[in-house]
Amino acid sequence: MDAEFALQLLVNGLTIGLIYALVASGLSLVFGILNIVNFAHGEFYMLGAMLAYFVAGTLGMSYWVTVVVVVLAAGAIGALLYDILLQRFEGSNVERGVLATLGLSMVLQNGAIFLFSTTPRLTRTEYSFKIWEFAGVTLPLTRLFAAVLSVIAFALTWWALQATQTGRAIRGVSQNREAALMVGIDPKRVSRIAVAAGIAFAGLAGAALAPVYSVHPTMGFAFVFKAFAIVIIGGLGNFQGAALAALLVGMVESFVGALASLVIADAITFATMLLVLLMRPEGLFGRGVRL
Amino acid sequence: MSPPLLSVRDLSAGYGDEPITYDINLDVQSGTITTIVGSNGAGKSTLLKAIYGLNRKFSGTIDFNGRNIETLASVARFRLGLAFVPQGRCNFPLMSVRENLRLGGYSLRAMEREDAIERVTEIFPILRQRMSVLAGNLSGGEQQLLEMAMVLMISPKLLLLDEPSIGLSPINLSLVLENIQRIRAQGVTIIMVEQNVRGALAISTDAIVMDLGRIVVTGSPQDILQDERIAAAYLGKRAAR
Ligand SMILES: Nc1ncnc2c1ncn2[C@@H]1O[C@H](COP(=O)(O)OP(=O)(O)OP(=O)(O)O)[C@@H](O)[C@H]1O
Ligand SMILES: [Mg+2]
Repeated sequence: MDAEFALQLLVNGLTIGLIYALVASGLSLVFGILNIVNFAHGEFYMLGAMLAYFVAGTLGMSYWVTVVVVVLAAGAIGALLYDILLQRFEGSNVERGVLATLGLSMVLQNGAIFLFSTTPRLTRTEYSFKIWEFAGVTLPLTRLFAAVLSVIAFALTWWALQATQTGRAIRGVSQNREAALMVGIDPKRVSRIAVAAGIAFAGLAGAALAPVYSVHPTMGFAFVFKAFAIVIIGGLGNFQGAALAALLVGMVESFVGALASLVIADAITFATMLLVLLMRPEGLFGRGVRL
Repeated sequence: MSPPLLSVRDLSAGYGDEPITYDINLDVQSGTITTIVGSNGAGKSTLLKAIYGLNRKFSGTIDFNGRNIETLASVARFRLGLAFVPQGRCNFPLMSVRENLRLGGYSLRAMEREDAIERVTEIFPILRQRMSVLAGNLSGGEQQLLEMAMVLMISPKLLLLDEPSIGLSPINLSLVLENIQRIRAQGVTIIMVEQNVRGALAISTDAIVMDLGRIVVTGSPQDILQDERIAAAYLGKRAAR
């Protein structure tokens, strides 16, 4: 393997890893605050991609307008998801909440099949087929933007969690709900914000990847299982851990996928998940860095 | 006498379908320390939670500082100056002491928040040396002080403390009791539940004995400690401590 090829694989692994980080940390955010594993998370990624297809393809809006529209819509849908569904399962009914998200996932997936059919569609934007070249490495612009958007979203959220009162309150509710009530935090308001952000992340990933991959109703399904593996490897509810694990999985996929096969790459990812569950249930990076 | 800061009338409260505490009538004057004692399961925590609005009210009224509060959510009661430190550890273990205090002042503006941190760390100087330590790594006594400091950030009028000395060593116990007196000196009225009957009553102005969900005796701490029938019937061996 020459250096140029290795560099290309590194860049590919990094870009896909960053997108995984976006989906996985959204999942982690929702779990961290509600203790509910959101099985419908992949469907929100799918809906984000569908909406992007509609806004960019059918309405002919620009790439950046599309991204903004999808993120805002996904955030609003996340707030509704919390108000209508998830808040009913807070605290004592977590298991039922998980089953409810599984049901929701099926409803959304089949609803999308009914409305859009299973035909995969490619989203055209003004950046489609444009390529960025640097030091012999080529990268489609849409992939580059997807990676950059992930980094921006992640950095912004990380900063907000550490340095703003609302971010601190999100971490507070996730660490100790009773203590949150003690200091006058309204856990519902804070949970709604966290869920909205988590779903906005899924929507952003969908919008960013719509011009990269084809858009179809079951696209969230495979994606979300990988996100689960990432979240478990990174430690349930661990926001940063999810991001690190996602980069790891992206790298494995890029290198093993190119040198052996994608099937083996997936096998490695899920075997790692099993090993972590067996040997380090708190995640590869420990509890110390939880939300 | 001025009107009571807290006035509870015929309150029944509990969880799910059944009340745990019944017919609670209680008046608390500003500037007092009231200690509630009683055996395990007597409903002491349930009563404090009912005053803060964390469980289900079946009947009765609660007036606080001239306002009717029994229909308000706990967040709204908090904003009126009512604070509650629950039984057991109740802080954000993976955040530093400073961050915990900042969250204590969640409802304050940024400037007020930093001033309030100055103020509460003056009351609890011990926290000053621990500002960047994770709350979960503090000793039990320090965590209890931190939790009191967190709710003092907003200068509450009435502070409800549920077993502040639970699980503490004798040294930490006197540390906590001493600090409760300092909080009172700041003009905060206190209702606390305590199992360390003697230590708690020694710093109290009023005492309440609960049994089987009801208030069975109210009086001065001295009367309660000296009445052997009360001690034998309700306080058990604990009064000897
Ligand atoms: N969340 C809850 N749901 C249902 N029942 C509860 C709940 N919390 C407490 N109880 C019940 O209410 C009764 C009184 O409990 P409470 O905690 O008020 O007693 P306590 O006087 O504070 O006791 P302790 O000294 O052990 O703290 C107990 O029988 C308990 O089982
Ligand atoms: Mg109790």
